[in-house]
Amino acid sequence: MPAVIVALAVVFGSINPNFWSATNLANVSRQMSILALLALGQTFAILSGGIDLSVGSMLALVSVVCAQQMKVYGLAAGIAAGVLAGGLAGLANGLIIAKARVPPFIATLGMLVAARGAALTLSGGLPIAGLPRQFLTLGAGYIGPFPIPTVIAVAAFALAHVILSRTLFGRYVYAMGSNEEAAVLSGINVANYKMLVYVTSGLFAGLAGVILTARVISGQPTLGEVQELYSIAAVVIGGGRISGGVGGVGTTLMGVLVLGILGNGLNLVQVSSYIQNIVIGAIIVGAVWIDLARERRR
Amino acid sequence: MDIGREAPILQAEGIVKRFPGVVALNGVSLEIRAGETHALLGENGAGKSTLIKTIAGVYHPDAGEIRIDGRPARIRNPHDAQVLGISTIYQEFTLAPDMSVAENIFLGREPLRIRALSIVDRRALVERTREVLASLDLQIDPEATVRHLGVAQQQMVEIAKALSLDARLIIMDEPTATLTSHEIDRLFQTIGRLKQRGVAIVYVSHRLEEVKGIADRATILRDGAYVATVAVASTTIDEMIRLMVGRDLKDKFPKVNVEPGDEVLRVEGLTRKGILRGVSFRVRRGEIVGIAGLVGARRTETARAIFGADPLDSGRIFLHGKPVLVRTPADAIANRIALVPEDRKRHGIFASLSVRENVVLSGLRQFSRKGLLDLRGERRRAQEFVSSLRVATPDLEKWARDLSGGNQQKVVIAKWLNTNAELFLFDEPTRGIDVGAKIEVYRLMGELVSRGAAIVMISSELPEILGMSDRILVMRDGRICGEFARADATEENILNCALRGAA
Amino acid sequence: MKERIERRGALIALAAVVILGCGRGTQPSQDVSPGVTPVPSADVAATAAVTEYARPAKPSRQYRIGVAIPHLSNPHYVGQAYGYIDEAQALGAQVTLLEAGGYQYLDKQVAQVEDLIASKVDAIILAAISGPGTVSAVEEAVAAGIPVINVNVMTDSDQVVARIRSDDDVIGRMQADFMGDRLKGAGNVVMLRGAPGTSWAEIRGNAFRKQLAAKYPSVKILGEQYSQSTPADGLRLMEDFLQTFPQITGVYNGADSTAVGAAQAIASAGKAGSIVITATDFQPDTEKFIREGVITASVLQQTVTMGRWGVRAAINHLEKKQVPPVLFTGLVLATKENVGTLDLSTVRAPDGWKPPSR
Repeated sequence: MPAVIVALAVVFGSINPNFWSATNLANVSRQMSILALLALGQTFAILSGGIDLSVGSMLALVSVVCAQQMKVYGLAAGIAAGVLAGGLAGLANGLIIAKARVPPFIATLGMLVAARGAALTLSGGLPIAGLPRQFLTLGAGYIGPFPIPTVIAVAAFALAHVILSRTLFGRYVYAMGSNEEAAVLSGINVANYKMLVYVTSGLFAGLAGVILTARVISGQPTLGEVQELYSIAAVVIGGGRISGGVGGVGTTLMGVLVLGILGNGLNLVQVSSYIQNIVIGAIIVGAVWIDLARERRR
Repeated sequence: MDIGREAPILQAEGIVKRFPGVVALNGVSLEIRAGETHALLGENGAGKSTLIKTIAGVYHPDAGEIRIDGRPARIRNPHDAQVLGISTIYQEFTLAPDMSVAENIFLGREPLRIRALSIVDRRALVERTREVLASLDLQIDPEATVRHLGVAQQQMVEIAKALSLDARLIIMDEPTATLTSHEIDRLFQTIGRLKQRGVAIVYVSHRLEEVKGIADRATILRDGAYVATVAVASTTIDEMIRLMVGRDLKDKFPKVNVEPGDEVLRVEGLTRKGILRGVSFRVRRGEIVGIAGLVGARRTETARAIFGADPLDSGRIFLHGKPVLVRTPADAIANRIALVPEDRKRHGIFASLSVRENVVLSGLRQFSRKGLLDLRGERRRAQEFVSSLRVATPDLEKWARDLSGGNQQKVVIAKWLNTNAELFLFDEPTRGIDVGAKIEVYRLMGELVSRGAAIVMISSELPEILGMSDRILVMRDGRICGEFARADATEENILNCALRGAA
Repeated sequence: MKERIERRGALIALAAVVILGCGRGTQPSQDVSPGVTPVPSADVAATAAVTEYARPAKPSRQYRIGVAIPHLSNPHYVGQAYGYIDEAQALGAQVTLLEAGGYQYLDKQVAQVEDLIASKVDAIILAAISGPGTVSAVEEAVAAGIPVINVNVMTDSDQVVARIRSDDDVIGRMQADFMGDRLKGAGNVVMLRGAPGTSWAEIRGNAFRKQLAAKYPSVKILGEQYSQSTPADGLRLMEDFLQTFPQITGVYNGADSTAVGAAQAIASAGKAGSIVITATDFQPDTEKFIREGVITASVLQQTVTMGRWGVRAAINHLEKKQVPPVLFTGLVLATKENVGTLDLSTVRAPDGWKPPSR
């Protein structure tokens, strides 16, 4: 997979040398950071044998809540409120999935619709402007040569990696995704851990939503359309198995890089956004097909 | 044993079928004549299921020949079998529940009004279905949705379907397992009608009284080998049992004799509507209590209830004399109870986790220091178990999926050893594993009880039960119908109890 | 493992290479412009808005202009694109045209502007998806030394060199005047205002109301609805309105996609011609309904002109000439009477013209 990413970069770089400029690379990494955070949350959901279709709509809800609270209570409160909103939406998902035992696909599909509706209702369909200028730094600023969102995303990846590979929670996530019935029979409190999975996904979406809001310095109830699908694509393209139990932070990172470089590269060579979607769709199917073909040969 | 001079419609000779680690059929032969009802008998694991699946085209034999009407036949898949006139009715019906009877019977062969457009001629469909059903004197509405029919009627639809395929040989696998006695009578009537039409039936069943009632001849298998073919009319049930069972038990079971200590587990009146009917027994330290019984006796459900995996309507569980409430597997583990499940693929092993991760999973908390897992400690512990249980794996990080069945079972057992349990519930502990691995599991069980654990072992292999248990409980229909001490137990009296419910 | 990487890599690289020669696809997208706060009226009043803007002389060097617009899925933006591209050709400039796929893809537009900055274009022309949302992108461009011209839909940033658009206020008033006149001073009107939160929906609708209240007080507004700008929404809302208010005699439309749907609803109800329908813009269906007398009038925006002026302003600024800060493109009221004589060269791209595919 790293070879693929380098290959893509070389191809695009040769067509448009601007690809390699510091500005462009900074842009790419900044643009990818939102998807990266969503994909991290999605990784937890998919690894555990579930899925979270609501992360795109959560961006909108988080954006609106963050902006509204920020205007009344200030910068820090707004940021905290935004992340918290994501966590609460995730908790709602978790309760419905773990306690009411609704399949994750359906539960998060419902949240996808509901969260978008909530965002539109809370905001009246209108964007919320007038946020403090310093907020923009979160989305547009730099730490040294690195855009702040990129730094946050990298930190998030590191944290997620530690959780998944070195904690009880992480191990149980893999176990649930690998064989849920066996997990129950092995004494794992599957219901509680599932809830934790969706809260985690919601918190990552909350963080992503706050950063995105900073980038456009306004609360926008229409953000995030289709992003949930890209987050799933990132997990799967990198090698994660959609039924759970296989994958991780590394594979998701690969998927994010592929999508990010493709998107940026195709923009630089002026390919329409519609065609980009076709390409990404083809890659998703192709990547999974290659995986399954390998499985079947065993 | 000459029934008649009719030529056999099916002859299977010298059928050999191997699976990784086990020889399921070792030169088995079977001869079926037109119009006869031929029972196929044997214990669990004798090879009956493998044999019928080979004839039905689901498996390919590694050696041997099948002849239809005297001519050698190659049955590469179920379709080939169907074309040759062989139909199989499994325990799990293969009907489409949301389609009608008529649609099911003629699925894939519907009469078409306009061939090019695949438009079905509904009237012809219903008419022909009526004909088929009438020929069996069945009062079933061809347009009824299958889902709304009772089990017995669904079975009739399966039989009608086989007939409509011009089956000359119908294999029925445990056909009466889910029928009431009234429905069984109807089934036998139908079989009678089939006989009149010259259709042969291979009847696989444990219920020897029924076999006596319906079969002409019976073939007995044991341990994958052909034992004998008898005329049912002139063979008693006892004789049949003896043929099914007789073998040497010596030395395949490294039994350790341990003086039993205090009571570890006592259950009283475990009841769950429709499933458990007041199960009571006790197990002492150092004891291996075997639970025998046939499929459907609800032995697995008993173990799961004790382990907290299934709910109970009433009943009490005592550990060391004190009542405990075990509502979830986590409760069970906290009370030092372990369950090694019957279906390891679905309930025991984590295929996409490494051997190490599997082994440490149930006791993972021991390795958590300040929130982080001590991977080195995990590796050390996993290595200990892999060595002591002789799990064949090149390294600890290999996915559990890549191990053989026997080694997977050892990994599952290792997982439970890691939880410091003192009561082990083993459900079919050696199913699907090779002889060498089996012996190691037995040795392990011996070690456990010598160190003070108590074991409940559910098994469908009589030799195993007899070889390893200190005491044997026999279950039938959700209750315990008999108990034998090691010295008094024989295969015959166990099987008798299991089959007839008489203690 | 290695084999899998290689196969996957081959697939991805192949896909990427294959599509580089492909043409564009078309997909319907919604006309939602999430959020433009109305441009502060100070800049309109303080400087007299310019309404004529001639083509400058062809500059000495070839400039590279980046254009970022919300989408290309209706004739309005296609016409505008024609304006940009044709004008650039006349002035020897090279245009990079990027569209975000719809009004809901604000982050994509921001990313596109950033990509244009990275490509080091000489100037950027922006039709903003969101007023506040594009502020940071504009500022980044300006900080990188790239001037920004704002066309059609306004950004909140005050660092733009010029703003070029229709006077939405006038559009609203024109529809009010026509409506009041046709209804002979008295009637019952409903409003299909268009996409909530967009500057055009707000300003036009408010101007319409204000003008009616001032000049035709006996024309009552019975109800108003916001919706996406699609014929399906117009159809649905109009059917509902007809049920609720059988006495409707007039329908105002912020844009024209809803008018097309409303016209269908009215025609199906057998009331074609007895209800006055006004709209803005001139897609082919609108034209058809005007000829048939179902849609009574529409205010035509000169979107091609907007495109042309955008390029002219950019070139002038790059050639260090003064650029007026506000430019209003002209408006024409189209009715059945004059529809045959209209010069559509400023309103639509020529028949059969398609935006370039690379």
